[in-house]
Amino acid sequence: MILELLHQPAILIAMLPVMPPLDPLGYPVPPWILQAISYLTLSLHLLAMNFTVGGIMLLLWTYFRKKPGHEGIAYFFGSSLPLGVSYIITLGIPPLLILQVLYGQMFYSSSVLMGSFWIQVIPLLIIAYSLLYYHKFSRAKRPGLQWAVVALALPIFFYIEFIFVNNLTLVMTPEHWLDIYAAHPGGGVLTHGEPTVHPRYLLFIGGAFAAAGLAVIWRGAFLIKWGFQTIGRKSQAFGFRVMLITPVLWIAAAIGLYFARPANIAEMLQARAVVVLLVIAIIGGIAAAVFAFLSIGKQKMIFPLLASLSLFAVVACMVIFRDLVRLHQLKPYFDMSAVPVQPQWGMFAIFMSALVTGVVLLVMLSIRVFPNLASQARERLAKMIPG
Amino acid sequence: MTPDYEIPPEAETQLPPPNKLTGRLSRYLLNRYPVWPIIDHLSKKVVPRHRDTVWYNMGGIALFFLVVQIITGALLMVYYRPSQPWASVQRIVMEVPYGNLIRSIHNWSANLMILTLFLHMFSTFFMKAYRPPRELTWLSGAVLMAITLLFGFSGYLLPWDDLSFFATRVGMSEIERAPLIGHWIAGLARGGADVTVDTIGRFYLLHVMVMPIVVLTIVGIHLFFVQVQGVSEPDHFAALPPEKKRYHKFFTEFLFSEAPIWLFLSALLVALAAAWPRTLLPEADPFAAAPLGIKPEWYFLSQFQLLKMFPGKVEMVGLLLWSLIPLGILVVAFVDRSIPTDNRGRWTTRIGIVALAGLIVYTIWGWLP
Amino acid sequence: MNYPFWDIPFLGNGLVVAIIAIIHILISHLAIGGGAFLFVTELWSDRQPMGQKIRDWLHRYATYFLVYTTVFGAMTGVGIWFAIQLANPEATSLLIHQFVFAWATEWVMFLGELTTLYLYFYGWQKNSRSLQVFLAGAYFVIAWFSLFIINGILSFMLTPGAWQLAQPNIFHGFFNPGFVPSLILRTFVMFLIGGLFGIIVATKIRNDDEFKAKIINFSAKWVIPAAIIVPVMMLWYWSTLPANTVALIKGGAVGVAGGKLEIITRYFWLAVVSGFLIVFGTLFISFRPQAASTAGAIALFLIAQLGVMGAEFFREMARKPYVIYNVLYSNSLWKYHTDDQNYMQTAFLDNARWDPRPEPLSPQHGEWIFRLQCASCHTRNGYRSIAERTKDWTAEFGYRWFLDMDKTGIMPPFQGTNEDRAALSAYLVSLHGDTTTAQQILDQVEQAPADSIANQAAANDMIGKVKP
Repeated sequence: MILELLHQPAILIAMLPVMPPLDPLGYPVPPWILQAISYLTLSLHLLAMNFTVGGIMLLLWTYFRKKPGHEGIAYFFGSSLPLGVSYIITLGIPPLLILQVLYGQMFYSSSVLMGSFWIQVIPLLIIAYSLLYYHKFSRAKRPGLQWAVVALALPIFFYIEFIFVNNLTLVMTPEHWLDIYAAHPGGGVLTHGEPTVHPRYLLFIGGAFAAAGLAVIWRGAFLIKWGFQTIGRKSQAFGFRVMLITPVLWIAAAIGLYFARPANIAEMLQARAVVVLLVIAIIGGIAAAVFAFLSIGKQKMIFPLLASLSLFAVVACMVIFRDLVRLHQLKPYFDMSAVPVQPQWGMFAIFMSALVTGVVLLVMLSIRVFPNLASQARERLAKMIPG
Repeated sequence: MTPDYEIPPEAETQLPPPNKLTGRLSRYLLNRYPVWPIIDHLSKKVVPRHRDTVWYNMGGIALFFLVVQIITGALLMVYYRPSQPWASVQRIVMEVPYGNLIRSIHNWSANLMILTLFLHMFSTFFMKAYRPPRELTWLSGAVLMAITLLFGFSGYLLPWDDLSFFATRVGMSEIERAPLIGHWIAGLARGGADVTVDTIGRFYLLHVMVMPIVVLTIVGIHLFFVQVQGVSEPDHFAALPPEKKRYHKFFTEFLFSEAPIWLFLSALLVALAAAWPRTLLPEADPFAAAPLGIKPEWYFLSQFQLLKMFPGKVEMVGLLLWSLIPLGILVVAFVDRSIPTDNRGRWTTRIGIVALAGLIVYTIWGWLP
Repeated sequence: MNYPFWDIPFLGNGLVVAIIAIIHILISHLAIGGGAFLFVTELWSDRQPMGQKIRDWLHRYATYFLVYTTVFGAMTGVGIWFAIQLANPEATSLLIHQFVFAWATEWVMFLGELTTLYLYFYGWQKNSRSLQVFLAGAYFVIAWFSLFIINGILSFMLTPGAWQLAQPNIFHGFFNPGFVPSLILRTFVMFLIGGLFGIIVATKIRNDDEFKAKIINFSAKWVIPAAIIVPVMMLWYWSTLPANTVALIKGGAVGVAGGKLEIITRYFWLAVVSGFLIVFGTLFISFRPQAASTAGAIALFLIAQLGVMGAEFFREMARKPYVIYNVLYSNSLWKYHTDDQNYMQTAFLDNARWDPRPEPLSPQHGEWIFRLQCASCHTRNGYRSIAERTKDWTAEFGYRWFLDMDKTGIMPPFQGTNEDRAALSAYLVSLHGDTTTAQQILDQVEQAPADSIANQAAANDMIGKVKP
């Protein structure tokens, strides 16, 4: 039976000779399960990435503006950015894993076409990560040049995001592959003239402000709860203003995407699922802004929480929409429903039980430790801020 | 009753207690060999602790590589035949168990030893350790450097493959260009007008008997000088008030802290031999043309490149320029003598920086195709 | 050839994987061994009168540990993943589709490792003793499970055991013959590395020789279990190696088949020598712990890095010519294809998908066969240089040599027609200036009938002269 799996339906081969064959093992579970897990973890990964990149920008901004309360925000990001990076990396693993299971033959092809540009992500991320840690551990001793260290990390992250956007766009355009490889026979192409790359990229960068702004709002809520009313409120107001930059950038990106859209996308855009996603995304975006606004001046965590969930919903809708676009664009060359499923329910059960047990354990441990961390932060603030 | 030497009372307190084996053994020996003053002196030997302390390791590392060379060289001698040079090396590489490994280690250790000696020479130069009373230590070191380079040159020929033969022939023709005595020395070294199997006999004798005896003797003298005089202190350390000066004891602290580095270098030699084993090119054919772009080993590249810039009639200029370096090395200890350093000393440092930069630039230039 | 080929000149894409992996293995082994070290030291400190002093020192250990493992460990681990998907997408795809949920479970372990480590590290001042000890222990157990999982996948590649492509059973593949010895071996090596790291951090204790000696002696003890268990596990591991691999290793010690087979033996000895040197060095340091310097301790740690280089190179080379033993060759040829004689005689570029359809028998034809069938292991002029290995070839010799190249024991069989062989041979000899064309080879061969035995002898003769 395996040997039959190895031969794709003849029609697909005729459509694109260069498309690699399906993996002989097929899918380990029905693809919708993997897609669901991917949507969840990818959204979290993108939020972590947005938090980090936005955090770097806000750190630099507040460091240079030096308004009252800004120093605290800069310190907050300086402390939390390395953790942000580690969660970017960790949360990026499941989506990349599932991408390779579901779209392996497309993804590996596009990655090899990018070649050394793809592998550059690794040393660059090591450098950026090290810079952020260096900043964190030595800022007390050398406050002067710390901004330079962080400022170096910013273009690195921008570049890494650009590499990712290009790779995942190339996944969706197999018709260009053979020409690209013929022009670069060992791989090594960063960008390939695909018009949607730049608007997509703007979507990625745009989200940074919402995520980082929301983090500052959370910080403000905790400050108010701990009795630092004035700086807490300032923090929240600042965070809210920052958040408003995102919709501007996202609307610009949406317009750009509209003008750059591929010809055959119109039919897909009318599908009901797509309309539902767009509606949820818009409502979510408005809700995020409203809840963020309502958080200002209050110590209740419910408002920042609802704002975060709304933002998560927006990002998740974007992620799901992107996947639908991808499936649509790959239709002439790849049919997900035609991929055989050789179930590994046993392994899936092991994974899910590990996941549930793990998350429960981590949540319980976090609940035990967070009060200690909070009181430490509180003590430090009490020493730094009078009254 | 055989007369015993008396152990000095201050020694009694510093030796291990008499009920322990080490205590009994040391007292046994001290009763027969009155060497307590030497031991006492050595135990007080200290190494200054400052930001450049790491350079003090270089001499020991060079000595480590020398020991590796002696051991691996002896093992190679079991199978090497000067009458059948290439065939015996091929046998070592292809048939003898671990022969390839030992041969590659010998080669890598040679290169690393010469590199370490460059580091040792330049670090002692820039720390101005040649100043009085250490002039003779410096001179003996210069002689050791020259002998080590000769070790490299002589050993290079022994496999008698294409590279060895032609590199040696090129090197010999460079020696010939030395004024007055060049022709005579080259003829003596070669055993004739050209590099032949007779040359191997001479190089082999030098490489495995004459130079080892000489180098061990001079290393002994060099170390004796260092032990007796102590380790030199650079100016910035010597200028500190006594209570701020910190020292390691040599015979426990420093030596023990150095030893793991030697263990690492052992592993490094095996790793280098594993990753980049020494190749054996086809057997030398003296009647063939020299391979294109034949060059000496990296430690001779700077001279080679410098002399290439002065071909034909102007070669004397190149030779004179190049001879400034060994000349400079020989006289620096007598020219720059002031502690703390003075204007002359600062100029010596600047000239040294220029020389080092030149060495690196010419070596890289010589290496490029 | 189903996928495009990632060309890295001089190094070859395999070496890129190797370099990232060798760096990663040392750090990842520290991540787990250091976790055990944190846990045990926490417990030990509770039984010592100077417990708080020990814990203050342990926090320094944890600081270096945190940055080193989260930054370099995590990134180089992802780096291996990036590199293998570029270097061998076919094998990566097979592994991912078979083991995705194992990897997903390993990811849960990563999440747990990271979070428990952060909770342990950032809460160290205020967490209760029992919570700290629990967090350290949880970190170690979770981290060890991530080793458990990756070890199954990695050992599967060399010794797939009862696993079959036609009826893939993940548990057969995961619990393969090499699984247990490598798991135990790696666990004890991890303890060793955790201890070496402790020695490094201990050398930073200033002006308190007695405490420094105490910590160094404690750290040095972590090397002892490895000194005993690792050699035993190596013997067990050795017994699971494929017969072909054992022959290669033994044949390499005395160069019967010449230089190229020795490399696996050389790396094996590097690992063994490094092990001895570490044990010896640790004993040496324990003899006089007050004298230990940071440079010396780092030197020991670097010996471990070289040992890892030896062991991992050895393990990877042991799989030759396969990337997944008996299933997939390193150049992405499937074993079930090479068992099919009809398939093996079809035109190679018809099966490959990423060539620009060069003119048959042209120099580009040969070059594309080289790129898609050979370049996964051989660079032109760099690592395992093909130009170096074929520099004495005549075009006709190459043409015949491909017929039996799998008999060397380290190469896959050649997939392609006579035209393919001629084109490839013409390309290879052109690298050293021979201008014979593929057409000329075919014409010459037609005139002289192929005599396989004589050619085999000539091929065997050539093997002895191939460089490492």
